[in-house]
Amino acid sequence: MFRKQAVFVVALVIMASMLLNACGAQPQSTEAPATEQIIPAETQNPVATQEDTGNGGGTLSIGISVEPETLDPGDAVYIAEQFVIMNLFDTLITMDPKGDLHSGLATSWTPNAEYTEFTFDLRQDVKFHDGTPFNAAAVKATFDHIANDVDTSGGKTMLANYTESVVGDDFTVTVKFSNPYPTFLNDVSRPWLGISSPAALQEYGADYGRHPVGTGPFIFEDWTAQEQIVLAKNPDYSWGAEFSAHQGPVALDEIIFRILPEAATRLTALETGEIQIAEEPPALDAVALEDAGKAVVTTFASPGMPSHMMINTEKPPTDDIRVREAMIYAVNQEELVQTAFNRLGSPAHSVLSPTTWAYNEEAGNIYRYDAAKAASLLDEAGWVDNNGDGIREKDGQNLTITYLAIPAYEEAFMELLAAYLQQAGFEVDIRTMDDAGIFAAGSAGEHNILNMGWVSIDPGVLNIVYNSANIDGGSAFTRFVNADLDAALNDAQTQTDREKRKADYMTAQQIIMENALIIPVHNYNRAFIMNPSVQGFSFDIEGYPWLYDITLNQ
Amino acid sequence: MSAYLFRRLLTSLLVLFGVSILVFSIIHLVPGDPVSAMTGRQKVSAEQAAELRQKLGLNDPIPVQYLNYVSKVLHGDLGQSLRNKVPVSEAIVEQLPSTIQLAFSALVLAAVIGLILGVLAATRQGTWVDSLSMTLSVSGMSIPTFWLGLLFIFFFSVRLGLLPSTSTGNNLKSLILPALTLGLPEAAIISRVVRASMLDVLNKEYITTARAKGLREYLVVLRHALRNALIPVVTFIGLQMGYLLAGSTIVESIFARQGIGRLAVSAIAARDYPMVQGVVLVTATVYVLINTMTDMFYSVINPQIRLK
Repeated sequence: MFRKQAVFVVALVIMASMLLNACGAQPQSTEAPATEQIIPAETQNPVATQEDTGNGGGTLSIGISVEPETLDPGDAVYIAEQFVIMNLFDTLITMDPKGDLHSGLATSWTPNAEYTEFTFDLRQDVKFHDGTPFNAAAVKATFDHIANDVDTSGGKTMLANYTESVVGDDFTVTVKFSNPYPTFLNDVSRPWLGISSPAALQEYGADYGRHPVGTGPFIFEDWTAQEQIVLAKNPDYSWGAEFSAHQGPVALDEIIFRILPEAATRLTALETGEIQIAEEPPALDAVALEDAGKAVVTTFASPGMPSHMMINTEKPPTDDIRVREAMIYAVNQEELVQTAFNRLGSPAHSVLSPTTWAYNEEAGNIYRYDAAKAASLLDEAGWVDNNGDGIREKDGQNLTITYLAIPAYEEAFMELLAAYLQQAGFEVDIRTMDDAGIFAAGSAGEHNILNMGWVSIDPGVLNIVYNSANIDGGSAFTRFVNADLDAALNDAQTQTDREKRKADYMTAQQIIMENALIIPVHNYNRAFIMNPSVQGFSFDIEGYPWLYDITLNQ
Repeated sequence: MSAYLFRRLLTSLLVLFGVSILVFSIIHLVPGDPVSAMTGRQKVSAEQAAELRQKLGLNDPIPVQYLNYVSKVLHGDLGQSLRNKVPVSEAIVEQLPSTIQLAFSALVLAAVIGLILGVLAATRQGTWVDSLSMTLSVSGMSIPTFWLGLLFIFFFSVRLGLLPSTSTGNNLKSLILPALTLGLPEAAIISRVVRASMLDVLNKEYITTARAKGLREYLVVLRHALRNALIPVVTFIGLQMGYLLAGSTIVESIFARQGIGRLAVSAIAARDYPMVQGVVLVTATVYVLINTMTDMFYSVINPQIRLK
């Protein structure tokens, strides 16, 4: 009796799972006949509802992976926040995707000789979403708010040396700093310094982050926590950036940011038509969907520091430069990136990505995958595999590397990276933790390697991570001290001459790579997958989606 | 009865205290603190970080922090989220209805399906109906929630396009798949308990008597057997609320539903201590309340049980 039941159970379970799996299997590319037209997902599945006003308008739903914590541009710091804020607020200066500055809310600007004072002439025809006029007082109120009311944020970091704003007349304002700030004109084009309505700042006080009021092409409508943020078209908008594909109000009626933390959920929501754009889809599935003609994948090679492993130069065995160099030669970035990201990724070979200003090509060519060289370096350093277990030893110790990993950022490649190192004779001890845990453990120097990366148009982020002043309590996890490196980074911070600044960063990259401080892994490619009905999608200079020119075509 | 209630109240409060101490200790033992979570990969100078820690009261010794927290809770203040200053009670009240909706629907679904399956299996014991029911029950218990959810999404949302894959707003359509995902494994468990209880009752002498009196079989089952068999089942279902509240976290994540489960997950990652403590405390309170109610209900429907 028991045997009969057992067989029955097993057979049923197998059949049931086969049935469900077969029904649930992703369409393979061979299923789509070569002559099939690209069918927008929402016409296949009646689940999705999408209003269509027939002229490119309608509601655009975007699936994002992380929920913003605030929509106050002065209090914001996360990618998700900037993504939403860009559509609600305007900045004094705008920057086109090539890095050139154009007028924004300010029509002209003049820095003083030391770059401590900046005078802006403002547009006179701009209104906030609450109807109040934009003027010099609004700029002052916004910057004062950041300086006085905010604890930490992107904007606060930028205004670290802010002293005051002086209102000249209604449409002239001078912003003052205590130290030279040569990059302020670039920084003021970032959404962190977008201008808020003083009336709203006053009215909502500490709650302003949930009731943002700006001058942007979209107006804030509603925020349902853990679910969605809804923006509506600003019909009065006529002061957009001059390099946009169109002028005046947007074509869309509404944007809904759907908060979908699971990557798989974002992809299925795109397939069913519940959203038209999804952020950071799982790479392999996204490529499959694009190959099947159901979606379009767009990527952006972000500037700044690519994803790389910082090597602890104080902790053995990585205190030996030969061991560090061997680690770099042991990893095949091309193969790793192809396996982990398919065509959505690109290999990195340096501490800055090639699309960053002041990228040093020579430093980026020092190392390429060479397993033989890795082996000979380790032999030279005295690490040999005597007992045939695949792990090298020296003085009775195994060649062990402690790898502190954050799966949220690294799960695509961390096992692969460990495998390459293991092939070279390392024993890799992977310990997974999250952001908060890594900061604590990294500061204590518990790691041999941990991951770092930083999307930024300015190479100044090198200072935060490689200046020896930031070893204690900061993020300088290589714990490497070098007077020349510090000198170059310090000079670049306050250097007003663009060419000299570039030379400083070139030197810094050379020193970092020569001393084998990092294992480069992959460049950050921001990937977005979208329904073919979405037209006019583009990226800004930092790789954030530029939604202003989007239209939805049926 | 009132003495009983008073005693229960006392023990419940003790339980809640214990839970709060436990969760307080655990989250403080996890490496990293809210400031390092806030900064993560961003830049904050060492002085700024120290200032923030002081401001958030993170430099006080842990027992002091705990006592400060408890005294606030006793005044009804669950604190503010460390991330965005939203009052914890406000955030929880906003998210709780969705979780309750989900847990309740799953419970109803599970109870109905479990009852039907269990009764069928018990009344047709030894036949293919029994084997099939029990097979389904074992499968249901073994299938992981997230797998079931993803499968439902692929089948009903992507392939058939009948139901949405994500939950928006307060509509019935968004509730069906999540409730099924959470409820079916629960139904499996309930069916086994129902079957066992029914079998036990069906063998009793008063059932034979009822049949001997000529009562039709379905009346025997429904009016006599089921009523008595339900007693342990009801208790069991009440205790399963704990599983449902926990399982709602996974289901909420898969379907991107609002709820306190997701709230807790994101709060933990951000080391948002007040939020984590608030959610756990609220969940524990709900759990304790339901258990108390179940016990009282049990004594009402079974006169043999006197609450002591």
